[in-house]
Amino acid sequence: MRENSPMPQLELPRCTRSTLPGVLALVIGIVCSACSVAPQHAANATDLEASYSFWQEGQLKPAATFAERVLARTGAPKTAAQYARQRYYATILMMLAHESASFGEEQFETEGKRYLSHVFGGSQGSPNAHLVATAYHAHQGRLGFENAVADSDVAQSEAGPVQMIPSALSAFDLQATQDHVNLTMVMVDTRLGFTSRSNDHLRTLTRAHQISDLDTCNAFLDQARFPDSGRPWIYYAMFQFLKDTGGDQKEAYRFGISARQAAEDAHSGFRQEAADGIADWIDHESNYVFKCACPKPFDRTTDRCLVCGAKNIIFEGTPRP
Amino acid sequence: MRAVHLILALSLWGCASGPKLPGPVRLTGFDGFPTNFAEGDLLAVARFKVNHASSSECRVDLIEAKRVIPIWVTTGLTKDAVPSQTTLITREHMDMRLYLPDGTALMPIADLDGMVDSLSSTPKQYVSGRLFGGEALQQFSTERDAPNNGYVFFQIPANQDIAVRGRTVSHTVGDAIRSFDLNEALVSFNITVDGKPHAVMVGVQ
Repeated sequence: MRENSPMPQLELPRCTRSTLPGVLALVIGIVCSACSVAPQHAANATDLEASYSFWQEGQLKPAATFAERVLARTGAPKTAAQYARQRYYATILMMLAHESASFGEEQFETEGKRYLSHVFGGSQGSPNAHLVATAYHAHQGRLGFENAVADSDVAQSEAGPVQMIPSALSAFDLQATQDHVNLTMVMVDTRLGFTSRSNDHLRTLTRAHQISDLDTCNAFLDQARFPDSGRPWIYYAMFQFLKDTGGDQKEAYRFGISARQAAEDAHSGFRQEAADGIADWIDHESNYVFKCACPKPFDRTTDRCLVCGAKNIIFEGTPRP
Repeated sequence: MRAVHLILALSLWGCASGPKLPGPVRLTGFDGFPTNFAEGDLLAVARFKVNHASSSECRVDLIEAKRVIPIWVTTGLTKDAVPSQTTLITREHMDMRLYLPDGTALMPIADLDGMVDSLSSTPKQYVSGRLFGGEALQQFSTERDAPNNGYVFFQIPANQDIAVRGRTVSHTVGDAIRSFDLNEALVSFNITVDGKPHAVMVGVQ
């Protein structure tokens, strides 16, 4: 071959020839290390986008499947840090998928247990099963938050022209997402009956002041994009927190009424016993008697005064005699 | 040189297509759920006895041999409570579940008698003397022979690729391997006292 070649060949020294495989391996290694970053970021971004789209469409199984692909692809200890931000969003999407599923008991039941058993690879799915998984991923999201923030600039520079986080998802501001995670943890523990831990969450929430009264709480829930289905449970958690910790009982009343009302409006799985518990506290245990301007007292069977039409939520509390 | 080009091309193709083996999805730092249930007069705990297989009284790894996860459930009333005569705590009425952290729900084994009968004499004696049950709810006691204490065996479904080593569970779903500890799991069941159902949720110890 060399004899037939029209171009002059460089004559390699003998010692270099003997190390050719090593040089080749080095070249291959360099090329691979250069190209191994971007393809993973690109594949992750594609999967994150798919997951988010499916979640928005209410197709929760594929939403979780695509998010989990990102977690699986980036889970090796040596590289996990390299993908911290993408892993964070994948974790959040897993949490959101399970959170949405936890409200969908009736929808899943109509589709039969077979489907149910394959949702997210579990078996005998139920709201509680999804709540457990929601809590699991919410905790992970909380843990991954700082790394995700720290990673945002570094990883983007490594990823080059690849947009690491799809634009629809990057609209989820990291702080707002983390607020959603914290609210989710409160919601899950309240739904599972872990009131004491829910109170602990609320006590240690860094932005707790933003939910301590109903008006700012609603603004906070909007900002965190918290789902309507979960809101009765946040109101209920705040009701319990204020009631149990010696807080403002008039505000507890407003949260309690809001929980009952929101539960009627949303498919929240809100339990009748919880709604009854709120009414029992208003009727018998609160330090105040809540009346409308009529002044007709609170009636648990209606959401407004039957005389003047005023909504329960604006009833005034006067000290119980 | 063609060979070199071929190797380079294959290498580039290989690294562009990404890794074939997924890394484990290891979620760390999740501290599970509260492990002491207390509501009104009702108390409950659920414990995974990791060393049951090495016990001289059992000698069988029930997870491996029977694909069940044994959870030791202890429930009862507070010291000052009056025992109720209308308590339903039979396994059939309790609707027990073991929820793994990834959302997989395991039910108690349907054919408990069949499982017990299939064991050899030593583990059979061990298991049959420690089954969870009881008629009326008694005072809470951690004594092994207390009437409301015993094992519940949660069946690992045949179609689920779940392996348990020590307290660590690996659940393979598609390309993902989920890995977590059993003390991050949750046990739930119902107890009906005087016609009123109580939902018990307790983290596994």
